Amino acid sequence: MNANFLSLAIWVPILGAIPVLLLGSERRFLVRWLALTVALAGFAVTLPLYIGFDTTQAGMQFVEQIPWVPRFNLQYLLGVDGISMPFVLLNSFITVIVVLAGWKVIEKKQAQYMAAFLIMSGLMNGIFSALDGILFYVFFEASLIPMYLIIGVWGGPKRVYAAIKFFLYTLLGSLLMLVALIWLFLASGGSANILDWHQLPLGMTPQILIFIAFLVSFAVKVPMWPVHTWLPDAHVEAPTGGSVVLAAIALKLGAYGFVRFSLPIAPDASHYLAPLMIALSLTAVIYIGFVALVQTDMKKLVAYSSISHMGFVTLGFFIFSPLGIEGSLVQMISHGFISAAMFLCIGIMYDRMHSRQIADYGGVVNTMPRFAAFFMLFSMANVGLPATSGFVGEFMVILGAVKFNFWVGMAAAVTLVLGAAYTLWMYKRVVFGPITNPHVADLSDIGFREFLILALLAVCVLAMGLYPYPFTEVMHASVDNLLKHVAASKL
Amino acid sequence: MPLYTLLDNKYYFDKFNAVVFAGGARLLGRGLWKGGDQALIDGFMVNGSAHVVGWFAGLVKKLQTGYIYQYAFGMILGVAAFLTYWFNRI
Repeated sequence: MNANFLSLAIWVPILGAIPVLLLGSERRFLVRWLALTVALAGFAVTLPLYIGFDTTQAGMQFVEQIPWVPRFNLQYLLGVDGISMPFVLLNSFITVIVVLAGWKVIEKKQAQYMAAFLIMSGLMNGIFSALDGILFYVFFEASLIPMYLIIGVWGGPKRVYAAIKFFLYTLLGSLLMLVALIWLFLASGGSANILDWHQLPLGMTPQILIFIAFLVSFAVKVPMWPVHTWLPDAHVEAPTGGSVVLAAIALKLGAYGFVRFSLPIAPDASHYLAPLMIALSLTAVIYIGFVALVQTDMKKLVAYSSISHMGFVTLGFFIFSPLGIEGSLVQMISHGFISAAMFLCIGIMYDRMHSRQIADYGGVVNTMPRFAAFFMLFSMANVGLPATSGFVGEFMVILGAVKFNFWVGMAAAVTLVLGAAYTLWMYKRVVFGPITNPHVADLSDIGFREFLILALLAVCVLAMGLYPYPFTEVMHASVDNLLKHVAASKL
Repeated sequence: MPLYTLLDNKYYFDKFNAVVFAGGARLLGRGLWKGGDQALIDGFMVNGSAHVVGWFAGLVKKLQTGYIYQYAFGMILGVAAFLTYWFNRI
């Protein structure tokens, strides 16, 4: 139990990135294999977190505590509960996928590219496992830097605009969070321990202010309507790997923040402001669904689809039921797999055609049948078809929402119609129909490496869709505990 | 014969769906995208706030001429205003 698996999950990728950088981009063969080894090692050290996890216990496990800045009582305090543990695994798994996805495609500065992803992976694990507010903030901000570089260096033509927009948006939000963290630090008499903050009695006004400060920060990250416009730009310009990490992991940080900070620290404000949160979530689900429908760029379409799906997640949190919160967490993990797969599919086509415009495609199934089959599975999962992971989370949230209020559930269910419309319409226009573009006629089907990546994700999507119990089992105790905590007033 | 055409076109239900529901949804989507996302959020709120800062900076830039006599004149005005307030206070 005391093998410091969380520290390993954070520091194996970060320290492993150093030799990758030192190898330099000339030795491409070595760089790739070393990066893959580090990513696999990083994933391997997270497995004991799942195997050794005590599902009956609601509290933090694998806790590590070392004084960090003793003068201010800051600690290097790590730990995971059933809510955060799955995300550490998801993140480390996606890192392996991303390294494989950048195997041949990245031609310039490959060592730096791989190192940026490895470092980011470690930092993300830090965010999910930090239990010290200031340590959390450090990881949260530090993770912006590799992402900024990935978009800004390996991105498309408008990469600098997109990278700066991404950076400014998220930084602006997190500055308010820093204010809230410092206020909590002082209010709790000099403790930065998040678990102490959970127990801190607060009046209604401070709770609302704290809630809003966290909301601004996390809403940008999720992203919630109306602070979502950085995401389509960032996705379109980011390289495939960047889009994958952005969609699969970075978006989850905001949603995770709500369950780790907003709900338990300001439970009364959460209840008070829940109608606002539900309204914003439903706006995201419906408004963004319509916007996704008319996109002509595939990456933009999937980016908007991500916003819509994340609206579901925030909706699930603020209906305060076990179904809602567990459904949201399942939806987050499932969306990690599906959005990663969708962006990889678009990346595979982009590598061959250098276009993301739907109008440039048509009839891809004739030349890439194996690819078309995978793309079909992931499109269906994005729609939320039963037996795929997309269904489980959406079903739980809709069920929870209908119990909460019939019309809220009804509005949320609109996403199923809209999701089917925009995803399947895109699939039809890209994959079926006659070949109109001569370049499509010259396409070659996916090779072994691409097959492996998509197959791994397909297994995850189907496994989670057919048998979600291993995922919900680990969350159950922690979610119950959270709900009990949120139900008790702090006033 | 009109009956045959009506039945052959399935009471025009497919056409109705394509024009009203699908077309309407696309129209709404385009309106929200261009009008909401691009014009209102990105244009007015995001880039608009940046423009306001830039415009304001351009305005106050004009005050920073670097001429010492203009700064001195500003100070004299300030002292005059302060003294006026001071002597007329209740």
